Amino acid sequence: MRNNSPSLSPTSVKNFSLNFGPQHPAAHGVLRLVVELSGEAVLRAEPHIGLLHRGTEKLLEYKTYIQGLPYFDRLDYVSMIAQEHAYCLAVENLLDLVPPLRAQYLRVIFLELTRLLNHLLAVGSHALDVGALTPFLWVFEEREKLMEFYERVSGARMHAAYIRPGGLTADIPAGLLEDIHQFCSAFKVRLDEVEEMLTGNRIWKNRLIGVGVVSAVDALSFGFSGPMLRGSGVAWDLRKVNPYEVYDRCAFDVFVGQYGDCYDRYLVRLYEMRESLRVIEQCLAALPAGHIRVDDRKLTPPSRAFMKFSMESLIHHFKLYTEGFSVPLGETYVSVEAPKGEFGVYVAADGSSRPTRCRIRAPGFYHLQAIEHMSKGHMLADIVTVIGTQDIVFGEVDR
Amino acid sequence: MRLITALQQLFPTSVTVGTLHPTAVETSQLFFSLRQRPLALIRVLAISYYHRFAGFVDEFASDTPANPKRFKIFCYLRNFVGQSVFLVETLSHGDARTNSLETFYVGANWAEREIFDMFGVLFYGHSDLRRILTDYGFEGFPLRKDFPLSGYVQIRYSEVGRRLVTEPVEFNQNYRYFEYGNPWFNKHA
Repeated sequence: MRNNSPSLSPTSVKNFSLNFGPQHPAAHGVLRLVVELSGEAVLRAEPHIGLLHRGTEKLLEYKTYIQGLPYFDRLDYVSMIAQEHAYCLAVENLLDLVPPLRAQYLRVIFLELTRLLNHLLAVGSHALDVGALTPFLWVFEEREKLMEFYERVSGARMHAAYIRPGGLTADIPAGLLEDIHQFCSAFKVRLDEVEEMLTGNRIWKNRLIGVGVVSAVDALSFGFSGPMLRGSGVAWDLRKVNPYEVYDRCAFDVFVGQYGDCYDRYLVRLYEMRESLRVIEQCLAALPAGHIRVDDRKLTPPSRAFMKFSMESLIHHFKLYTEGFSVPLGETYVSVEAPKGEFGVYVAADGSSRPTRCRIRAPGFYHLQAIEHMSKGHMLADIVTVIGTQDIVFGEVDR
Repeated sequence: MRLITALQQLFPTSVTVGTLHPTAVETSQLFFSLRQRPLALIRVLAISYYHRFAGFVDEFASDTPANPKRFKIFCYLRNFVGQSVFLVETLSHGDARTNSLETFYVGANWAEREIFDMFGVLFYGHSDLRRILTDYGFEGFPLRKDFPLSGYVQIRYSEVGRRLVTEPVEFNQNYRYFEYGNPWFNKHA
Protein backbone atom coordinates (compact mmCIF):
# COMPACT_ATOMS: atom_id res chain seq x y z
CA MET A 1 0.00 0.00 0.00
CA ARG A 2 2.05 2.83 -1.27
CA ASN A 3 0.83 6.31 -0.94
CA ASN A 4 0.55 7.70 -4.45
CA SER A 5 -1.16 10.98 -3.99
CA PRO A 6 -1.81 12.92 -7.22
CA SER A 7 0.39 15.76 -6.15
CA LEU A 8 3.46 13.55 -6.04
CA SER A 9 3.07 11.65 -9.33
CA PRO A 10 1.02 13.57 -11.90
CA THR A 11 -0.98 11.05 -13.94
CA SER A 12 -1.18 11.56 -17.65
CA VAL A 13 -4.43 10.50 -19.31
CA LYS A 14 -4.03 8.90 -22.70
CA ASN A 15 -6.78 8.32 -25.20
CA PHE A 16 -7.51 4.77 -26.04
CA SER A 17 -7.76 3.53 -29.61
CA LEU A 18 -9.98 0.58 -30.15
CA ASN A 19 -10.38 -1.58 -33.19
CA PHE A 20 -14.06 -2.38 -33.50
CA GLY A 21 -14.50 -5.23 -35.94
CA PRO A 22 -14.12 -6.33 -38.72
CA GLN A 23 -15.45 -9.43 -37.00
CA HIS A 24 -17.88 -8.08 -34.47
CA PRO A 25 -21.44 -9.31 -34.19
CA ALA A 26 -22.79 -5.79 -33.71
CA ALA A 27 -20.95 -4.45 -36.74
CA HIS A 28 -23.58 -5.96 -39.07
CA GLY A 29 -20.98 -7.52 -41.28
CA VAL A 30 -17.44 -6.54 -42.01
CA LEU A 31 -17.06 -3.06 -40.62
CA ARG A 32 -13.72 -2.10 -39.24
CA LEU A 33 -14.19 0.90 -37.03
CA VAL A 34 -11.20 2.59 -35.47
CA VAL A 35 -12.58 4.26 -32.40
CA GLU A 36 -10.69 6.71 -30.26
CA LEU A 37 -11.96 6.81 -26.74
CA SER A 38 -11.51 9.11 -23.85
CA GLY A 39 -12.61 6.93 -21.00
CA GLU A 40 -15.80 5.55 -22.44
CA ALA A 41 -16.70 8.58 -24.53
CA VAL A 42 -16.14 8.42 -28.26
CA LEU A 43 -13.84 11.08 -29.63
CA ARG A 44 -13.37 9.77 -33.13
CA ALA A 45 -14.82 6.90 -35.07
CA GLU A 46 -13.34 6.16 -38.42
CA PRO A 47 -14.89 3.42 -40.53
CA HIS A 48 -12.66 1.35 -42.77
CA ILE A 49 -14.87 -0.16 -45.40
CA GLY A 50 -14.28 -2.22 -48.49
CA LEU A 51 -13.76 -5.58 -46.85
CA LEU A 52 -16.69 -6.91 -48.85
CA HIS A 53 -15.83 -5.07 -52.05
CA ARG A 54 -16.56 -7.34 -54.98
CA GLY A 55 -16.26 -4.85 -57.81
CA THR A 56 -19.89 -5.12 -58.84
CA GLU A 57 -19.71 -2.00 -60.97
CA LYS A 58 -16.73 -3.37 -62.88
CA LEU A 59 -18.32 -6.78 -63.29
CA LEU A 60 -21.49 -5.26 -64.69
CA GLU A 61 -19.48 -3.75 -67.53
CA TYR A 62 -18.58 -7.26 -68.63
CA LYS A 63 -22.04 -8.80 -68.39
CA THR A 64 -25.07 -8.50 -70.61
CA TYR A 65 -28.02 -6.65 -69.18
CA ILE A 66 -29.75 -9.85 -68.15
CA GLN A 67 -26.62 -11.37 -66.65
CA GLY A 68 -26.04 -8.22 -64.66
CA LEU A 69 -29.38 -8.31 -62.93
CA PRO A 70 -28.66 -10.89 -60.20
CA TYR A 71 -25.71 -8.85 -59.00
CA PHE A 72 -28.22 -6.36 -57.69
CA ASP A 73 -29.84 -8.91 -55.42
CA ARG A 74 -26.49 -9.45 -53.81
CA LEU A 75 -25.79 -5.83 -52.98
CA ASP A 76 -28.11 -5.21 -50.10
CA TYR A 77 -28.96 -8.79 -49.32
CA VAL A 78 -31.94 -7.97 -47.14
CA SER A 79 -33.82 -5.87 -49.68
CA MET A 80 -33.16 -7.80 -52.83
CA ILE A 81 -36.10 -7.01 -55.08
CA ALA A 82 -35.95 -3.27 -54.45
CA GLN A 83 -32.54 -3.11 -56.05
CA GLU A 84 -33.11 -5.23 -59.09
CA HIS A 85 -36.16 -3.04 -59.57
CA ALA A 86 -34.03 0.10 -59.73
CA TYR A 87 -31.78 -1.53 -62.31
CA CYS A 88 -34.76 -2.69 -64.35
CA LEU A 89 -36.25 0.79 -64.30
CA ALA A 90 -32.98 2.19 -65.63
CA VAL A 91 -32.77 -0.35 -68.44
CA GLU A 92 -36.45 0.04 -69.28
CA ASN A 93 -35.95 3.74 -69.31
CA LEU A 94 -33.23 3.49 -71.95
CA LEU A 95 -35.36 1.08 -73.96
CA ASP A 96 -38.50 3.24 -73.62
CA LEU A 97 -40.32 0.30 -72.21
CA VAL A 98 -43.36 0.27 -69.98
CA PRO A 99 -44.21 -3.05 -68.38
CA PRO A 100 -47.86 -4.17 -68.38
CA LEU A 101 -50.09 -3.00 -65.59
CA ARG A 102 -50.30 -6.39 -63.91
CA ALA A 103 -46.53 -6.53 -63.74
CA GLN A 104 -46.45 -3.07 -62.20
CA TYR A 105 -48.92 -4.04 -59.50
CA LEU A 106 -47.06 -7.25 -58.73
CA ARG A 107 -43.83 -5.28 -58.58
CA VAL A 108 -45.30 -2.93 -56.01
CA ILE A 109 -46.60 -5.84 -53.94
CA PHE A 110 -43.17 -7.40 -53.86
CA LEU A 111 -41.39 -4.11 -53.33
CA GLU A 112 -43.47 -3.53 -50.24
CA LEU A 113 -42.95 -7.09 -49.03
CA THR A 114 -39.27 -6.34 -49.44
CA ARG A 115 -39.66 -3.23 -47.36
CA LEU A 116 -41.18 -5.33 -44.61
CA LEU A 117 -38.36 -7.83 -44.96
CA ASN A 118 -35.77 -5.10 -44.58
CA HIS A 119 -37.38 -3.13 -41.80
CA LEU A 120 -38.03 -6.28 -39.80
CA LEU A 121 -34.35 -7.06 -39.88
CA ALA A 122 -33.48 -3.44 -39.17
CA VAL A 123 -35.71 -3.19 -36.12
CA GLY A 124 -35.06 -6.75 -34.95
CA SER A 125 -31.30 -6.64 -35.11
CA HIS A 126 -31.23 -3.13 -33.76
CA ALA A 127 -33.13 -4.35 -30.71
CA LEU A 128 -30.79 -7.30 -30.46
CA ASP A 129 -27.74 -5.05 -30.52
CA VAL A 130 -29.21 -2.90 -27.81
CA GLY A 131 -30.06 -5.91 -25.71
CA ALA A 132 -33.60 -7.08 -26.44
CA LEU A 133 -33.40 -10.57 -27.87
CA THR A 134 -37.09 -11.42 -28.05
CA PRO A 135 -38.28 -9.17 -30.90
CA PHE A 136 -35.44 -10.48 -33.03
CA LEU A 137 -36.77 -14.02 -32.73
CA TRP A 138 -40.30 -12.90 -33.54
CA VAL A 139 -39.40 -10.88 -36.59
CA PHE A 140 -37.19 -13.58 -38.02
CA GLU A 141 -40.14 -15.90 -38.02
CA GLU A 142 -42.05 -13.30 -40.04
CA ARG A 143 -39.12 -12.81 -42.37
CA GLU A 144 -39.12 -16.51 -43.05
CA LYS A 145 -42.75 -16.25 -44.16
CA LEU A 146 -41.89 -13.35 -46.43
CA MET A 147 -39.03 -15.23 -47.96
CA GLU A 148 -41.43 -18.06 -48.61
CA PHE A 149 -43.40 -15.67 -50.81
CA TYR A 150 -40.19 -14.89 -52.63
CA GLU A 151 -39.59 -18.58 -53.07
CA ARG A 152 -43.04 -19.24 -54.42
CA VAL A 153 -42.75 -16.68 -57.20
CA SER A 154 -39.11 -17.02 -58.12
CA GLY A 155 -37.79 -20.26 -56.69
CA ALA A 156 -35.23 -18.53 -54.51
CA ARG A 157 -35.62 -17.52 -50.89
CA MET A 158 -33.46 -14.46 -51.06
CA HIS A 159 -31.79 -13.67 -54.36
CA ALA A 160 -34.97 -13.72 -56.34
CA ALA A 161 -34.08 -12.08 -59.68
CA TYR A 162 -37.84 -11.78 -60.00
CA ILE A 163 -38.13 -8.38 -61.62
CA ARG A 164 -36.60 -8.33 -65.08
CA PRO A 165 -36.34 -5.58 -67.68
CA GLY A 166 -39.75 -5.56 -69.33
CA GLY A 167 -41.72 -7.18 -66.54
CA LEU A 168 -41.33 -10.15 -64.28
CA THR A 169 -39.79 -13.60 -64.49
CA ALA A 170 -43.05 -15.45 -64.12
CA ASP A 171 -46.63 -14.97 -63.11
CA ILE A 172 -47.61 -15.71 -59.54
CA PRO A 173 -48.72 -19.21 -58.58
CA ALA A 174 -52.36 -19.86 -57.67
CA GLY A 175 -53.33 -18.97 -54.13
CA LEU A 176 -50.42 -16.65 -53.50
CA LEU A 177 -52.47 -13.49 -53.24
CA GLU A 178 -54.74 -15.05 -50.66
CA ASP A 179 -51.76 -16.11 -48.59
CA ILE A 180 -50.23 -12.64 -48.80
CA HIS A 181 -53.54 -11.21 -47.66
CA GLN A 182 -53.66 -13.61 -44.73
CA PHE A 183 -50.08 -12.81 -43.86
CA CYS A 184 -50.85 -9.10 -43.86
CA SER A 185 -53.78 -9.38 -41.51
CA ALA A 186 -51.80 -11.57 -39.11
CA PHE A 187 -48.72 -9.43 -39.41
CA LYS A 188 -50.41 -6.36 -37.97
CA VAL A 189 -50.65 -8.22 -34.67
CA ARG A 190 -46.96 -9.15 -34.83
CA LEU A 191 -46.12 -5.50 -35.30
CA ASP A 192 -48.24 -4.62 -32.30
CA GLU A 193 -46.36 -7.20 -30.28
CA VAL A 194 -43.00 -5.80 -31.31
CA GLU A 195 -44.19 -2.35 -30.46
CA GLU A 196 -45.56 -3.46 -27.13
CA MET A 197 -42.14 -4.88 -26.36
CA LEU A 198 -40.10 -1.89 -27.47
CA THR A 199 -41.88 1.40 -27.98
CA GLY A 200 -42.72 2.05 -24.36
CA ASN A 201 -39.84 0.06 -22.96
CA ARG A 202 -37.82 2.11 -20.51
CA ILE A 203 -34.45 0.57 -21.40
CA TRP A 204 -35.10 0.84 -25.12
CA LYS A 205 -36.04 4.48 -24.75
CA ASN A 206 -33.07 5.24 -22.53
CA ARG A 207 -30.71 3.74 -25.06
CA LEU A 208 -32.28 5.41 -28.10
CA ILE A 209 -33.70 8.79 -27.23
CA GLY A 210 -31.20 11.57 -27.79
CA VAL A 211 -28.61 9.25 -29.30
CA GLY A 212 -27.30 9.88 -32.79
CA VAL A 213 -29.16 13.11 -33.37
CA VAL A 214 -28.89 14.44 -36.92
CA SER A 215 -30.37 17.77 -37.87
CA ALA A 216 -32.26 18.08 -41.13
CA VAL A 217 -29.58 20.31 -42.68
CA ASP A 218 -26.83 17.87 -41.78
CA ALA A 219 -28.87 14.96 -43.04
CA LEU A 220 -29.26 16.61 -46.44
CA SER A 221 -25.62 17.56 -46.63
CA PHE A 222 -24.52 14.04 -45.74
CA GLY A 223 -26.68 12.62 -48.52
CA PHE A 224 -29.04 10.80 -46.18
CA SER A 225 -32.19 9.28 -47.60
CA GLY A 226 -35.02 7.02 -46.63
CA PRO A 227 -35.87 6.57 -42.94
CA MET A 228 -32.62 8.27 -41.96
CA LEU A 229 -33.71 11.46 -43.69
CA ARG A 230 -37.33 11.23 -42.63
CA GLY A 231 -36.25 10.58 -39.07
CA SER A 232 -34.65 14.02 -39.16
CA GLY A 233 -37.90 15.60 -40.19
CA VAL A 234 -37.57 15.93 -43.96
CA ALA A 235 -40.70 14.60 -45.63
CA TRP A 236 -38.99 13.14 -48.66
CA ASP A 237 -40.15 9.89 -50.14
CA LEU A 238 -39.47 9.15 -53.79
CA ARG A 239 -42.59 7.06 -53.94
CA LYS A 240 -44.52 10.26 -53.34
CA VAL A 241 -42.31 12.77 -55.09
CA ASN A 242 -41.65 10.87 -58.30
CA PRO A 243 -44.15 8.04 -58.24
CA TYR A 244 -42.93 5.07 -60.23
CA GLU A 245 -44.91 1.94 -61.09
CA VAL A 246 -48.37 2.31 -59.56
CA TYR A 247 -47.47 4.14 -56.36
CA ASP A 248 -49.52 7.12 -57.53
CA ARG A 249 -52.63 4.93 -57.37
CA CYS A 250 -51.94 3.82 -53.82
CA ALA A 251 -52.85 5.79 -50.74
CA PHE A 252 -50.17 5.79 -48.09
CA ASP A 253 -48.66 8.25 -45.67
CA VAL A 254 -45.10 9.36 -45.14
CA PHE A 255 -43.94 9.60 -41.56
CA VAL A 256 -41.33 12.00 -40.34
CA GLY A 257 -39.49 12.19 -37.07
CA GLN A 258 -39.27 15.23 -34.91
CA TYR A 259 -35.92 15.09 -33.14
CA GLY A 260 -33.77 13.12 -35.55
CA ASP A 261 -32.57 10.62 -32.97
CA CYS A 262 -32.46 6.85 -33.06
CA TYR A 263 -35.86 6.50 -31.44
CA ASP A 264 -37.50 8.63 -34.15
CA ARG A 265 -35.94 6.53 -36.84
CA TYR A 266 -37.15 3.39 -35.13
CA LEU A 267 -40.68 4.78 -35.06
CA VAL A 268 -40.45 5.86 -38.70
CA ARG A 269 -39.48 2.31 -39.68
CA LEU A 270 -42.32 0.83 -37.69
CA TYR A 271 -44.91 3.13 -39.21
CA GLU A 272 -43.50 2.53 -42.66
CA MET A 273 -44.20 -1.15 -42.19
CA ARG A 274 -47.81 -0.41 -41.40
CA GLU A 275 -48.04 1.78 -44.50
CA SER A 276 -46.48 -0.99 -46.56
CA LEU A 277 -49.26 -3.27 -45.41
CA ARG A 278 -51.77 -0.69 -46.58
CA VAL A 279 -50.14 -0.48 -49.98
CA ILE A 280 -50.02 -4.25 -50.32
CA GLU A 281 -53.70 -4.60 -49.45
CA GLN A 282 -54.63 -1.95 -52.01
CA CYS A 283 -52.57 -3.63 -54.71
CA LEU A 284 -54.02 -7.03 -53.90
CA ALA A 285 -57.49 -5.58 -54.33
CA ALA A 286 -56.70 -3.76 -57.55
CA LEU A 287 -54.47 -6.34 -59.27
CA PRO A 288 -55.65 -6.58 -62.89
CA ALA A 289 -55.40 -9.61 -65.14
CA GLY A 290 -53.09 -9.53 -68.11
CA HIS A 291 -49.52 -10.07 -69.19
CA ILE A 292 -46.58 -9.93 -66.84
CA ARG A 293 -44.00 -9.09 -69.52
CA VAL A 294 -43.92 -6.79 -72.49
CA ASP A 295 -44.73 -8.65 -75.65
CA ASP A 296 -41.45 -8.01 -77.43
CA ARG A 297 -39.49 -11.14 -78.24
CA LYS A 298 -36.29 -9.19 -78.75
CA LEU A 299 -36.37 -8.15 -75.10
CA THR A 300 -38.22 -10.78 -73.12
CA PRO A 301 -38.01 -14.55 -73.44
CA PRO A 302 -40.75 -16.55 -75.14
CA SER A 303 -42.77 -19.02 -73.12
CA ARG A 304 -41.34 -22.51 -72.68
CA ALA A 305 -44.33 -24.06 -74.43
CA PHE A 306 -43.81 -22.00 -77.56
CA MET A 307 -40.21 -23.07 -77.80
CA LYS A 308 -41.31 -26.67 -78.28
CA PHE A 309 -42.92 -26.05 -81.63
CA SER A 310 -41.93 -22.60 -82.84
CA MET A 311 -38.51 -22.29 -84.43
CA GLU A 312 -38.68 -18.52 -84.12
CA SER A 313 -39.23 -18.75 -80.37
CA LEU A 314 -36.32 -21.13 -80.00
CA ILE A 315 -34.04 -18.71 -81.83
CA HIS A 316 -35.23 -15.81 -79.77
CA HIS A 317 -34.64 -17.71 -76.57
CA PHE A 318 -31.17 -18.70 -77.65
CA LYS A 319 -30.19 -15.23 -78.76
CA LEU A 320 -31.60 -13.60 -75.66
CA TYR A 321 -29.73 -15.80 -73.23
CA THR A 322 -26.42 -15.87 -75.06
CA GLU A 323 -26.06 -12.45 -76.54
CA GLY A 324 -28.70 -10.53 -74.62
CA PHE A 325 -30.59 -7.57 -75.96
CA SER A 326 -28.98 -4.39 -77.13
CA VAL A 327 -29.81 -1.11 -75.50
CA PRO A 328 -29.62 2.08 -77.57
CA LEU A 329 -27.04 4.75 -76.95
CA GLY A 330 -27.89 6.83 -73.93
CA GLU A 331 -27.41 7.31 -70.26
CA THR A 332 -29.87 7.48 -67.44
CA TYR A 333 -29.96 7.82 -63.71
CA VAL A 334 -32.88 6.26 -61.91
CA SER A 335 -33.38 6.34 -58.20
CA VAL A 336 -36.02 4.51 -56.23
CA GLU A 337 -37.06 4.50 -52.62
CA ALA A 338 -35.44 1.28 -51.49
CA PRO A 339 -36.15 0.30 -47.87
CA LYS A 340 -32.83 1.70 -46.70
CA GLY A 341 -33.13 4.91 -48.65
CA GLU A 342 -32.56 6.21 -52.10
CA PHE A 343 -31.06 3.52 -54.29
CA GLY A 344 -29.81 5.01 -57.52
CA VAL A 345 -28.61 3.30 -60.67
CA TYR A 346 -26.81 5.11 -63.44
CA VAL A 347 -26.53 3.16 -66.68
CA ALA A 348 -24.61 4.32 -69.71
CA ALA A 349 -25.33 2.30 -72.83
CA ASP A 350 -23.48 2.40 -76.14
CA GLY A 351 -25.87 0.38 -78.27
CA SER A 352 -24.33 -3.00 -77.49
CA SER A 353 -25.72 -5.63 -75.16
CA ARG A 354 -23.55 -4.59 -72.25
CA PRO A 355 -23.53 -1.34 -70.29
CA THR A 356 -20.40 0.76 -70.58
CA ARG A 357 -20.77 2.08 -67.07
CA CYS A 358 -23.10 1.20 -64.28
CA ARG A 359 -22.98 3.24 -61.13
CA ILE A 360 -24.76 2.07 -58.03
CA ARG A 361 -25.69 4.62 -55.43
CA ALA A 362 -26.08 2.75 -52.20
CA PRO A 363 -27.89 4.58 -49.41
CA GLY A 364 -25.85 2.83 -46.71
CA PHE A 365 -22.60 4.21 -48.10
CA TYR A 366 -23.67 7.76 -47.35
CA HIS A 367 -25.22 6.83 -44.02
CA LEU A 368 -22.13 5.10 -42.76
CA GLN A 369 -19.86 8.05 -43.35
CA ALA A 370 -21.89 10.02 -40.83
CA ILE A 371 -21.11 7.54 -38.07
CA GLU A 372 -18.53 9.80 -36.50
CA HIS A 373 -20.90 12.73 -36.63
CA MET A 374 -23.62 10.67 -34.98
CA SER A 375 -21.60 8.97 -32.29
CA LYS A 376 -19.17 11.70 -31.25
CA GLY A 377 -19.45 12.44 -27.56
CA HIS A 378 -21.56 9.39 -26.87
CA MET A 379 -20.52 6.26 -25.05
CA LEU A 380 -18.85 3.34 -26.74
CA ALA A 381 -22.01 1.29 -26.35
CA ASP A 382 -23.94 3.91 -28.29
CA ILE A 383 -21.86 3.21 -31.38
CA VAL A 384 -23.71 -0.07 -31.56
CA THR A 385 -27.00 1.79 -31.36
CA VAL A 386 -25.93 4.10 -34.16
CA ILE A 387 -24.83 1.26 -36.41
CA GLY A 388 -28.15 -0.41 -35.71
CA THR A 389 -30.18 2.67 -36.51
CA GLN A 390 -28.30 3.23 -39.73
CA ASP A 391 -29.38 -0.19 -40.86
CA ILE A 392 -26.04 -0.90 -42.44
CA VAL A 393 -25.59 -3.83 -44.78
CA PHE A 394 -22.12 -4.24 -46.14
CA GLY A 395 -23.16 -5.80 -49.39
CA GLU A 396 -24.31 -2.40 -50.58
CA VAL A 397 -21.80 -0.21 -48.76
CA ASP A 398 -18.85 -2.00 -50.29
CA ARG A 399 -20.47 -3.06 -53.57
CA MET B 1 -35.82 27.42 -66.56
CA ARG B 2 -35.09 30.60 -64.69
CA LEU B 3 -32.33 28.74 -62.94
CA ILE B 4 -30.70 27.75 -66.20
CA THR B 5 -30.67 31.26 -67.64
CA ALA B 6 -29.44 32.71 -64.38
CA LEU B 7 -26.60 30.22 -64.15
CA GLN B 8 -25.63 30.72 -67.76
CA GLN B 9 -25.42 34.44 -67.20
CA LEU B 10 -23.37 33.99 -64.07
CA PHE B 11 -21.01 31.37 -65.47
CA PRO B 12 -20.99 31.84 -69.26
CA THR B 13 -17.69 30.05 -69.69
CA SER B 14 -18.46 26.92 -67.77
CA VAL B 15 -22.16 26.06 -68.06
CA THR B 16 -23.80 24.52 -71.08
CA VAL B 17 -27.11 22.78 -70.83
CA GLY B 18 -27.54 19.24 -72.06
CA THR B 19 -30.10 16.53 -71.62
CA LEU B 20 -29.97 13.28 -69.82
CA HIS B 21 -32.14 10.56 -71.25
CA PRO B 22 -35.64 11.58 -70.20
CA THR B 23 -36.39 9.46 -67.22
CA ALA B 24 -39.71 8.09 -66.22
CA VAL B 25 -38.78 8.53 -62.61
CA GLU B 26 -37.26 11.94 -62.24
CA THR B 27 -39.34 14.47 -64.10
CA SER B 28 -37.58 17.71 -63.37
CA GLN B 29 -33.93 17.06 -63.89
CA LEU B 30 -31.63 19.76 -65.12
CA PHE B 31 -28.44 18.70 -66.77
CA PHE B 32 -25.38 20.88 -67.02
CA SER B 33 -22.18 20.11 -68.80
CA LEU B 34 -19.34 22.01 -67.27
CA ARG B 35 -16.01 22.99 -68.68
CA GLN B 36 -14.74 23.34 -65.18
CA ARG B 37 -16.44 23.00 -61.85
CA PRO B 38 -15.86 26.35 -60.17
CA LEU B 39 -16.55 26.45 -56.47
CA ALA B 40 -18.51 29.67 -57.00
CA LEU B 41 -21.02 27.75 -59.10
CA ILE B 42 -21.41 25.12 -56.43
CA ARG B 43 -21.81 27.84 -53.85
CA VAL B 44 -24.59 29.46 -55.87
CA LEU B 45 -26.35 26.13 -56.15
CA ALA B 46 -25.83 25.11 -52.56
CA ILE B 47 -26.54 28.19 -50.54
CA SER B 48 -28.19 30.84 -52.70
CA TYR B 49 -31.66 31.61 -51.51
CA TYR B 50 -33.41 30.85 -54.80
CA HIS B 51 -31.83 27.55 -55.64
CA ARG B 52 -31.08 25.89 -52.36
CA PHE B 53 -29.79 22.65 -53.72
CA ALA B 54 -29.13 21.57 -50.17
CA GLY B 55 -29.48 17.87 -50.80
CA PHE B 56 -26.44 15.96 -51.91
CA VAL B 57 -27.47 12.81 -53.70
CA ASP B 58 -24.54 11.36 -55.50
CA GLU B 59 -21.18 11.98 -57.09
CA PHE B 60 -19.59 9.47 -59.40
CA ALA B 61 -17.40 9.15 -62.46
CA SER B 62 -17.21 7.28 -65.71
CA ASP B 63 -14.37 6.52 -68.08
CA THR B 64 -14.39 6.59 -71.88
CA PRO B 65 -10.80 6.17 -73.06
CA ALA B 66 -11.74 7.00 -76.67
CA ASN B 67 -12.49 10.60 -75.74
CA PRO B 68 -9.59 12.99 -75.27
CA LYS B 69 -11.32 14.06 -72.09
CA ARG B 70 -11.91 10.58 -70.85
CA PHE B 71 -13.28 11.06 -67.35
CA LYS B 72 -16.72 12.40 -66.62
CA ILE B 73 -17.46 13.50 -63.09
CA PHE B 74 -21.16 13.51 -62.37
CA CYS B 75 -22.68 15.30 -59.45
CA TYR B 76 -26.30 14.97 -58.55
CA LEU B 77 -27.80 17.62 -56.30
CA ARG B 78 -31.34 18.20 -55.26
CA ASN B 79 -33.45 20.90 -53.76
CA PHE B 80 -36.41 19.69 -51.87
CA VAL B 81 -39.07 21.40 -53.90
CA GLY B 82 -38.59 18.75 -56.55
CA GLN B 83 -35.77 20.00 -58.77
CA SER B 84 -32.52 18.24 -59.25
CA VAL B 85 -29.37 19.14 -61.11
CA PHE B 86 -26.80 16.96 -62.73
CA LEU B 87 -23.43 18.61 -63.10
CA VAL B 88 -21.12 16.89 -65.52
CA GLU B 89 -17.52 17.83 -65.92
CA THR B 90 -15.15 16.14 -68.32
CA LEU B 91 -11.49 15.70 -67.45
CA SER B 92 -8.56 14.61 -69.56
CA HIS B 93 -6.20 11.84 -68.58
CA GLY B 94 -3.25 14.14 -68.12
CA ASP B 95 -5.10 16.58 -65.93
CA ALA B 96 -7.57 14.49 -63.98
CA ARG B 97 -8.28 16.83 -61.12
CA THR B 98 -11.14 19.01 -60.07
CA ASN B 99 -12.58 20.91 -57.14
CA SER B 100 -13.92 19.00 -54.19
CA LEU B 101 -17.49 19.64 -53.12
CA GLU B 102 -16.77 18.72 -49.55
CA THR B 103 -16.98 22.29 -48.29
CA PHE B 104 -20.62 22.46 -49.30
CA TYR B 105 -21.68 18.85 -49.00
CA VAL B 106 -20.14 16.72 -46.28
CA GLY B 107 -21.42 13.64 -48.06
CA ALA B 108 -19.10 14.30 -50.98
CA ASN B 109 -16.16 13.19 -48.83
CA TRP B 110 -16.57 9.48 -49.34
CA ALA B 111 -17.98 9.83 -52.84
CA GLU B 112 -14.84 11.64 -53.91
CA ARG B 113 -12.63 9.18 -52.10
CA GLU B 114 -14.34 6.47 -54.07
CA ILE B 115 -13.82 8.30 -57.36
CA PHE B 116 -10.16 8.75 -56.48
CA ASP B 117 -9.90 5.09 -55.54
CA MET B 118 -11.59 3.81 -58.67
CA PHE B 119 -10.46 6.31 -61.31
CA GLY B 120 -7.48 8.14 -59.89
CA VAL B 121 -9.11 11.55 -60.20
CA LEU B 122 -7.77 14.06 -57.71
CA PHE B 123 -9.83 16.61 -55.84
CA TYR B 124 -8.62 20.00 -54.73
CA GLY B 125 -9.53 20.90 -51.20
CA HIS B 126 -10.49 17.41 -50.11
CA SER B 127 -9.75 16.83 -46.46
CA ASP B 128 -8.79 13.18 -46.59
CA LEU B 129 -8.18 11.80 -50.06
CA ARG B 130 -7.34 8.14 -49.46
CA ARG B 131 -8.41 4.90 -51.00
CA ILE B 132 -11.67 3.65 -49.59
CA LEU B 133 -13.05 0.47 -51.11
CA THR B 134 -9.96 -1.35 -52.29
CA ASP B 135 -7.55 -3.25 -50.10
CA TYR B 136 -4.84 -1.61 -48.03
CA GLY B 137 -1.87 -1.16 -50.34
CA PHE B 138 -3.84 -1.66 -53.54
CA GLU B 139 -2.30 -0.35 -56.74
CA GLY B 140 -4.06 0.84 -59.87
CA PHE B 141 -7.49 2.29 -60.55
CA PRO B 142 -9.95 -0.55 -61.05
CA LEU B 143 -12.82 1.17 -62.80
CA ARG B 144 -10.66 2.61 -65.54
CA LYS B 145 -11.33 0.81 -68.78
CA ASP B 146 -7.70 -0.18 -69.19
CA PHE B 147 -7.71 -2.05 -65.89
CA PRO B 148 -8.39 -5.74 -66.56
CA LEU B 149 -11.43 -7.34 -64.95
CA SER B 150 -9.27 -9.89 -63.19
CA GLY B 151 -6.87 -7.30 -61.81
CA TYR B 152 -3.13 -7.88 -61.72
CA VAL B 153 -2.49 -9.74 -58.50
CA GLN B 154 -4.06 -12.52 -56.51
CA ILE B 155 -3.70 -13.05 -52.79
CA ARG B 156 -3.55 -16.34 -50.94
CA TYR B 157 -2.53 -17.53 -47.54
CA SER B 158 0.68 -19.48 -47.56
CA GLU B 159 0.73 -22.34 -45.06
CA VAL B 160 4.51 -22.55 -45.35
CA GLY B 161 5.30 -18.92 -44.75
CA ARG B 162 2.26 -18.42 -42.49
CA ARG B 163 1.49 -15.14 -44.17
CA LEU B 164 -0.45 -13.66 -47.07
CA VAL B 165 1.26 -13.99 -50.40
CA THR B 166 0.59 -11.62 -53.29
CA GLU B 167 1.42 -12.96 -56.72
CA PRO B 168 0.45 -12.20 -60.33
CA VAL B 169 -2.91 -13.59 -61.38
CA GLU B 170 -2.90 -16.95 -63.05
CA PHE B 171 -5.76 -18.51 -64.97
CA ASN B 172 -6.26 -22.05 -66.16
CA GLN B 173 -8.57 -20.66 -68.81
CA ASN B 174 -8.72 -17.17 -70.22
CA TYR B 175 -11.74 -15.09 -69.46
CA ARG B 176 -14.20 -15.26 -72.33
CA TYR B 177 -15.69 -11.96 -73.30
CA PHE B 178 -18.37 -13.29 -75.68
CA GLU B 179 -17.82 -10.43 -78.07
CA TYR B 180 -19.18 -11.15 -81.47
CA GLY B 181 -21.03 -9.27 -84.19
CA ASN B 182 -24.51 -8.23 -83.32
CA PRO B 183 -27.12 -8.44 -86.08
CA TRP B 184 -29.56 -6.60 -83.86
CA PHE B 185 -27.24 -3.72 -83.46
CA ASN B 186 -29.52 -0.98 -84.71
CA LYS B 187 -32.78 -2.53 -83.62
CA HIS B 188 -33.61 0.19 -81.15
CA ALA B 189 -31.17 2.89 -82.08
